[in-house]
Parts: sequence; structure tokens; C-alpha cells
Amino acid sequence: MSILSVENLNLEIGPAKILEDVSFKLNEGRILAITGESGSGKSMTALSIIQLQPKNAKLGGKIFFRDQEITNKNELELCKIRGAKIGMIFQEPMTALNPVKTVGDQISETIVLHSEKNKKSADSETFNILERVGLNPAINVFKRYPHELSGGQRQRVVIGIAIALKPSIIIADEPTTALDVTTQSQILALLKKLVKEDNISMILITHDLAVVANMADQIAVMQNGIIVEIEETQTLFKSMKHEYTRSLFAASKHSVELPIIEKNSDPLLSIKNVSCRYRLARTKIFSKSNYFTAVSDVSFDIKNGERVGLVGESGCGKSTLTRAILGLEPIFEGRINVDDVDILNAKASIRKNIQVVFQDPYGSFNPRHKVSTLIKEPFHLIKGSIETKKIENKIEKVLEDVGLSADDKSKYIHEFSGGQRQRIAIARALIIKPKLVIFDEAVSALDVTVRAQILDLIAELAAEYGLTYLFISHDLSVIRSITDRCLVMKNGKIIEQGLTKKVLEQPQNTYTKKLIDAVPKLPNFQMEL
Amino acid sequence: MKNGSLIFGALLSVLVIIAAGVSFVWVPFDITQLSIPDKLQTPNKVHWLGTDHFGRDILSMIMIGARTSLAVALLAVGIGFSIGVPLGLAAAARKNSLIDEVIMRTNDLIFAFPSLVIAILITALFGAGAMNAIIAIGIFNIPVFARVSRGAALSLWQKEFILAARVSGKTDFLISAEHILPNIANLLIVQGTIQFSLGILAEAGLSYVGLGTQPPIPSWGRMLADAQTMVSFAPHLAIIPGTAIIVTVLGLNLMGDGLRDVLDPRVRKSRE
Amino acid sequence: MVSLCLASVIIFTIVEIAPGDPASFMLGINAQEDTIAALRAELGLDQDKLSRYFSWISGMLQGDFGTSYTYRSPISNMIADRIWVSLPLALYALVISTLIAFPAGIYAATQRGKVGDVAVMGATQFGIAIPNFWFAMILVVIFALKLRWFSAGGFVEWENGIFQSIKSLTLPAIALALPQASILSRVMRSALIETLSEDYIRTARAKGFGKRAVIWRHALRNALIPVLTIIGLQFSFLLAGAIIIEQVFFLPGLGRLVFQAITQRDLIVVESVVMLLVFAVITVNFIVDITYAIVDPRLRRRV
Repeated sequence: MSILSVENLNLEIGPAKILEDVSFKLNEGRILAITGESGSGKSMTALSIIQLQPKNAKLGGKIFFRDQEITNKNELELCKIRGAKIGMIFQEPMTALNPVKTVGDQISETIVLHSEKNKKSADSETFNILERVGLNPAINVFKRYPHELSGGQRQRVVIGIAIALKPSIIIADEPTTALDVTTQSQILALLKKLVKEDNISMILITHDLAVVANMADQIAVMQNGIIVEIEETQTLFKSMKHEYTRSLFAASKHSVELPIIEKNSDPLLSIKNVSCRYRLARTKIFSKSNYFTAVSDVSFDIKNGERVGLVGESGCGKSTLTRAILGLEPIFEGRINVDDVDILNAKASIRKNIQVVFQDPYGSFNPRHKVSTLIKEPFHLIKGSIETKKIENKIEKVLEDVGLSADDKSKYIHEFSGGQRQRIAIARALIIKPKLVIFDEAVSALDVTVRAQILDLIAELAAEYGLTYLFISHDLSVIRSITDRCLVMKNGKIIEQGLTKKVLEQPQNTYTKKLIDAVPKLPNFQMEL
Repeated sequence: MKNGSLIFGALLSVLVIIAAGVSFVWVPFDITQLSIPDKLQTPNKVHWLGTDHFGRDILSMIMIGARTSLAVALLAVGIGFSIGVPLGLAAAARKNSLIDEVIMRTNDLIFAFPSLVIAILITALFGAGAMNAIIAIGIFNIPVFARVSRGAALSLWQKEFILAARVSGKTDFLISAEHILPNIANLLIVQGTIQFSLGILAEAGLSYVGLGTQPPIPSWGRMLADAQTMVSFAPHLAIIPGTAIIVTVLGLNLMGDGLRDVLDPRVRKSRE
Repeated sequence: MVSLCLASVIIFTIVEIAPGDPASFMLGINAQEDTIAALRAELGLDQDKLSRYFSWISGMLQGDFGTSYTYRSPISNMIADRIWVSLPLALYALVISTLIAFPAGIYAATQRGKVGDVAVMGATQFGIAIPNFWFAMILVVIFALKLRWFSAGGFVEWENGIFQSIKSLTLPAIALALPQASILSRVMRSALIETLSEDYIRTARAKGFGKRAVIWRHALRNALIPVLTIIGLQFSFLLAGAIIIEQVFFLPGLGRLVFQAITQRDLIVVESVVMLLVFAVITVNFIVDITYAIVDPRLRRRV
């Protein structure tokens, strides 16, 4: 018998239909993955199962836990199920724990709430749980506050809360999306182990198809609130009945053809022994200032026509380095030269050679300006007046080049989707034809299908504009598809560099190896298109 | 609830503004004429809101008093806004620099003074009067506006569109004017209405203790001070100016709240 | 510390540049030049400004605020008498304000958008708009003149019975507390609503805590952080407000002292009282900072 069954779940918020006739069954001891792009309704499905959907949502359909109907239970009965029978793991470990309570208390209060145990025995049980989720008892995690733990450690605590009462079901909503790839693989392994040991059934919600493929027994693919396909993992990979499933998998295996460009031997960008450091907050008023070195002794060149990737996990110093190259960050030691001129005292005539595309398509534009005003901002770097007519022509041209229409220039930014905004960001970077473009995690915030389109666009533009670029990303698959050469960064240092293909296929450095191994891989499957 | 507070608040505010405006050209009775025989009348057909102990028409005094209150509060907000906002923007543009440190320390310092006490001190020492009241209230609006604009600007400086503008070689001044100010304007308008209403309360308080607007110019605070000794047998002398203050402040606050809901997309979203 | 020093300089400067010579004021318009000069010498006004500033400060550090120009009595004694009216009044008002605001704010937050919320919020709008000295007058009319529950003004000395003293401060404290209670309940409500939308509240709900339990066990302590800031700020409003309210109720507090001193150009009294108030405000803010660390472990220093 199935442990959980969802029948014709419908969810409306105002006029918007969020879920439509969602039905599935979860069997004991199995892992069901729900996948889809943002807005597909996968997280809302998870919240509806524990009846924590938003207050203003209208829910229809039935949900059964074993043979009890959850959908008609009152609040008191639901509270007895939540946490005890169904555990929940959320995406953002940074905010999922109460900042003013110790980690131990947050686990132990769950035990006290649902069992007859007193605080003392719940506490001692908590010690065991902390050890089970892989938190070293030597560092006395119990008495620590969430802000004293790393993201991975916090997610282990959240998992501890979820398994504390040995529930029948765990719902994990994007449990590793906010984590680095090496941490992700550890957390996934931990989840897999715990679920097996306690014979827990799990619903895993994630947008990452490779994670799905490696974890799930059964996969449901969602699009616009509808389950378009639900199959056993093996069957799904073989058949791929639904077109959307196929396009989703195609997009995540997407590779682009980079044009071949004559390389010029002069370095366009030259970074020599660069270090950047921050002053840390003083612990006492008169103590000496301490510094944190974010970038230490980094040197590399980018030649004209080269397409270079910079890879690293969060906190490795890649953002600081990016900002230093853009002249936005003071450097402590070393030099950054563009066309043999130091970037820090460079005049506008040199600075106009570098432009940037940022990660967040929503934060990248002043919401109060029209697209034309936004795109022409870099003209500020070009001295002397240019005819307005000429600028207008350039705006129209560049908008068409990035796949939008010339008419879009008089619209406001909120009228565009995330993918379109990223096109506008590229247009802004290209309008003054810079020699070097920096893509700072430029596709990380996008869904797979949109990401594939933007990568194609970059490749096209690389041919048309003869682009030289530095592409910063944490995502190895993006680096693989869009760069010729790559650099791997860790703890502020470049630890390995070389041709992208070579670095990714035959890594020399142990960290690079670890990084590559940690990336979940899609199994090889044949697609009939 | 939806925008109800904005409409109701705006209505009350407009009512007060019209009363103040009309008083320039017409009031029911000349308030410089004392008429002892008519003194202490309760509201009636001739004197709609009654008369005071000198027989002056209270409605006329309230209308002219509105003028005083609005003018003092508006100028005080103007002082706070025009000095505080540039300081706040400058502090945000140069975060953690000496300028930022100096501006924010000074702010903290002014905050440490119980505001009304210093207002009393200033008006008392430099002479009571509307002008000194304006300056005294205005000074305490400066740190409020500086703090609000710095806080909002700081979070904007982290935004990628500001980084993009910096990459385009724009100076901090240009960025503050072109990108920051328009994006914090909503917040400043809301803060402005709140400070405006606080200004009206402060003016009333100062006039009440005899340090604000001086006679013969009528002001609501003074009317209340005069009423105090007569409140047991002529309560309308206290009730009417008090109601005028409440209506004005209530109107402005409701309008501020309503504006915040309409202008701030974050609040709007969370209401849905 | 730094702010205290700066504050003292500012107060001293304001008082110095203010027009009006205390000596000539005390002796009246017809006084002779040489009598004025003699009095100036006696009061120490003929010394240069810097040395007067330092003698003022050093005296204050030893608890000696100097001698009043007009009354010729030590200011410390005058302040000591008055502070036992003003300080209890401000604290009393703070207690009332907190006692009203916490339940009202929490109730409104739990009833968000419902009738209860709208009613509480509407009431607070009125509370903010009512000038406290006007409210004080109305209270006097109703409770002192009509119902005769309280006396219309004046203060019963502490020696004559603590209960009587507290009773004589009750109406003033209520008048002072009303606007502050309104502001505080609004802050409490919005802080709680903000906290309730946090991710960790969702985690707590997923653990199986009910709506009420979540508020008590998880939300309230986090919501306290902004509330504490406002309580700290309110203390300075209450002290200042106390000065005006003292006028309404004829209370012999610091406010009365300041007004008398101002009209008599007794500048050293004004300086000292204002300095004392600033000191009180800075102390309260310091206490608030310490409380922050107790409430929020993120602000504690790592040991």
C-alpha cells in the first residue's frame, strides 16, 4: 500500500492556478523526485502535503497519509503529523534555523513536543542525532548557535530535525541548491544513507536533473502546475514520452559550438601577483586590526580573442577578483593592467574596454529607467559628444543582436522575463564594443532551458563581435561548454589552469579532482528527437 | 482597508490645508477685535465653534492657527530634508570612510539629546518665536532624514545596477543623483509625512509652554495653554483646538501609511 | 564616553552664545556697571570660557554641579530633589506603555487583517495623533474634576507614603504613556509580522508547533530586537515629554526647574539639567545595547 497518495490536488492563489490535478503515490521506502523549472509548482506541492500552503491559497483535492485523509484534519491533528510522521527539509539553511536558539535546543524541542520524554532525555537523544547527521561531537555543536556553523553544517542540523522522530516520510525541498557542489554531494549521500537506515520514504524536490537521476527511484516532471510525466527512473530515461521532459534533459546536456578565433599573442588583461584583503571587525577596541586575504598572489593573462573561465566554490575569492578587475575594489598588492595601463588609475578611454554582465537579472537594472536609458549608460565612458541619432541606431542594433526587437527600447525593465533581462544586460555590455567582457555567474540564476538559449547567444555573439571574455562560474558544465581555457580557484589562489578540456578531463590538482567528482552526472541516455 | 487610509487621510489633510488657505482671504470674524461681552460662548449659530475668554471667534482662530502649524511643520521638514538627505547619501556613497563616520556620529549625538528638551533650550535662550521653533524642530529632522536615506541607499549600493553604473565610469555623485535618489524617493515621501505630523505636535507642545508662536498670532498650542485654567467651566476651549491637532496629525499619519502601502511594492505584495 | 564629552561641549556652547547676561539680569535694569562686574566676578563669569568649561565639567564628575546663580544654593541638591519626581514619572510611563503595547501588538499581529487588528491599529493611530498635554488636560477634567478620583495636580512627597506618591503620578504617567504605547504596539505588531514570515518559522511549523506555540517559542524573542530599539528611544521622548506634562500637573520635577532657570537666566542650572538628561539617555542606550546581546546571540562576542 502506498504511504502517501495525492489525488487531484488543485491550488489557486487569487486568479492564478498554481497546481492543476496533481496526483501521485509514494510507496514505502522509496524516493520520488519532483522536478521542473521555477514556477512549475513543485515547492507548492510540497507545502500542500503538510498543509502549510499560503493562507490565501485555495486548495482542492485529497491527500492521504497511509489511510488517513490529511486534507480534512484540523490544526491540532495536523500538528501531530508534522514533524513526527512527516519531516521537512528546506532549501535555505542560512535562514531555516532560529538565530536566537541553540542548535541542540531546536532539535530537542521537536522531540519533547511529540513524545513523552522530558527535556533531559530529549537532550541526550539529540546528541546521538547530531552525531548521526555527521556533526562532530568534539566541537560541541549542541550549544552552538546557527550563525556559528557553515551552510553545510546547518543543513545537517535541519536534516537532524527532520529525522529526529523517525518519520515515515521526509519531504526535501531543494535541499542542496544553496550549497557548494562538494557539500552537496556529502549532504545527498547523508540523506540517502539515513533514508535507507530508517526505511523512510522521501519526496525530493529539485530543479537539478543530475541530482534527480542519481537519487530517485521514481521521477515526476512538472510544468506550469501540471505533472506532465511520472515514471520509474529507468523507464523515464528510456522512453521520455513527453516533449517537455525531452527538452528539459536536452537543455541540461546542452553544449554550444564556440567559433574559432585567431588568437593574438598580446595580453589584453594582465594580472600580476594580485592580492586583495579586507579588514575584519575588531574584537576589542584597541586590538590590532586583523585582515582576511580574499585573493592572494594571483597572476594570469588573457590574450585578445581568448575565452577564459574562472571556477571555484563560494568564498574562494572569485567575486573579489572580479570586482578588482572591474576597478571596483582596491587591491592590496600587485597590478592589474588592461592594454598595459593600470586599471586603478585608468582613464575612461581605457575603462571603456571592459564591460560586465552580472548574475541577477532582477537586480541588474534601475527599475525606474527605460531600456534605452539603461543600455546606453556605458556611453558615459566615451568622451566627446556622439550624435543622439547614432546612439539610437546603436541601441536598436544591439537589441536586435541579442535577440530582442528595436521597439523594446522604450519599455521598462519589469516588462521582461529573467532570460530577456539577461539579454538586455548583454546588450548593455556590448553597446560600446568593449575588448573584454566579464560574465559574473551570468547564467546561474536562470532555468535550464533559458540558460541553454543564453549560452547559445553568447557563442553567436562571440563570433559576431569577436569577443574576448572572462566567464566566472561555480558550474563546471557551463565552463566546459563556453570557454577555451580555465582557471580553478580555491582559498584566494589559482590552483590549476590550462585548456578547459584538459583541466576537466585530466585534472592534476586533488581539489580539482574532488570538485569534478562531486558534480552529479546525468546518465548517458539516447534520445530520439 | 485597501487604500482606505490613504483616501481618508488625504481628505482630512486637505480639509486642514483648505482651512489654512481660506484664512488668508476670509475668516468669519476679525480676531484682532476683542469683544468681552461675547466671551466664552459655547458653539452657536453666530459663532460656530464658540468664543474664547476675550470674545474672539474660535473658528477663525483655528483657521489661522492651521496656517501657523502647517507653515512651521513644513519649514522644519524642509530643513531636515534638504540637509539630512544629502548628508545621508554622502555617508552611504563613502561607506566606512571618515565622512561617513563623522556624519553618523553627529547623528547619534543629536539623537542622544531628548529632542524636545533641546528645542525648549534653543527657543528659551534665543527667544521664543516661530522662527526659532522652526529651527529647533528642523534640527531634529536632519538626523532622521540622514539615517533613513543612508540606510536605504546602502542597500542600493550593493545592487548590481549600481555596480554596472560604476563600471560605466559614473562618479558617486552622479550615481547618487541618477540612480539612488529616485529609488529612495518613495521612502522619503513617507518619512516626510511622518515628520510633518511630528512637527505639528512639536509646534503645539512648544507653543503650549509659551516658547513657540507668540501672541497675537493664534496657534493651537497657545489656545490650549489659555484654555487650561478655564477647562472646568469652558471645556470647549480645550476640546476644539485639541481636535484640530488630532485631525491634522491623524490625517497626515494615515496618508503616510497609505502612501507607504501604495508606493512600496514589497508591502503591496505581502498584502496579497 | 565620546558622545558625552561632545554633548557637554555643545550644551556649553549653545548656552554661551545665547544672548542675555545672567549677572545683569539678576540685578535688574537699573543696576550699576560696577555692581554687575562684581557679581560677574563672584559667579566666575569673568574667567575665560575654556577654564569655566573645565571647572564645570570637573565639578560635575565629582557630583558637584556648581552653585545656582539665582538661588545661591548647590545645584546638586536642587536636582536631587527634583529628579525623584521626573525619573519615576518617566519610568512609570515606560512601564505603562510596555504593559499596553506588548499585548496589543501581539494580539494585532495574530489577528492580522481581521477586525481585531483593524480596531487596535485604528486606536493606535488616534493615540499617536493626540498631543499628550491635551490628553493630560482631558484626564484632569474627567478623573480629577468630575470623578474626583485623583487630585488635579501637585505631588505627594515620597516620605508621605509611597502609595500616595504613585497615585499622584498616575494621571501624568498615563498621559505620557499613551502616544508611546501606540507607537510601541505598532512596532511590536510589524516586528512580529515580519518575524512570522521568516523561514525558521516555517521550519518550526513543519516540526509540528501550532500557531500560538510558534509565536511564544520562536517569533517573540526575534521580534524583540526592533522593539528594544524603540523602547530605548522612547525613554528620551518620555523624559522630554515629562517636562511638558509636569507643567500641566504642577509637578515639582526637572521640567519646572528648567523653566524657572530659563526665565531667570540661571544658565548653569540649565546646562546641568540638560547634561544630566543627556547622560540618562546615553546610559539607557547603553543598557539597550547590553540587552541586545542577551536577546541576540549573533551580537555576542565570541569567547
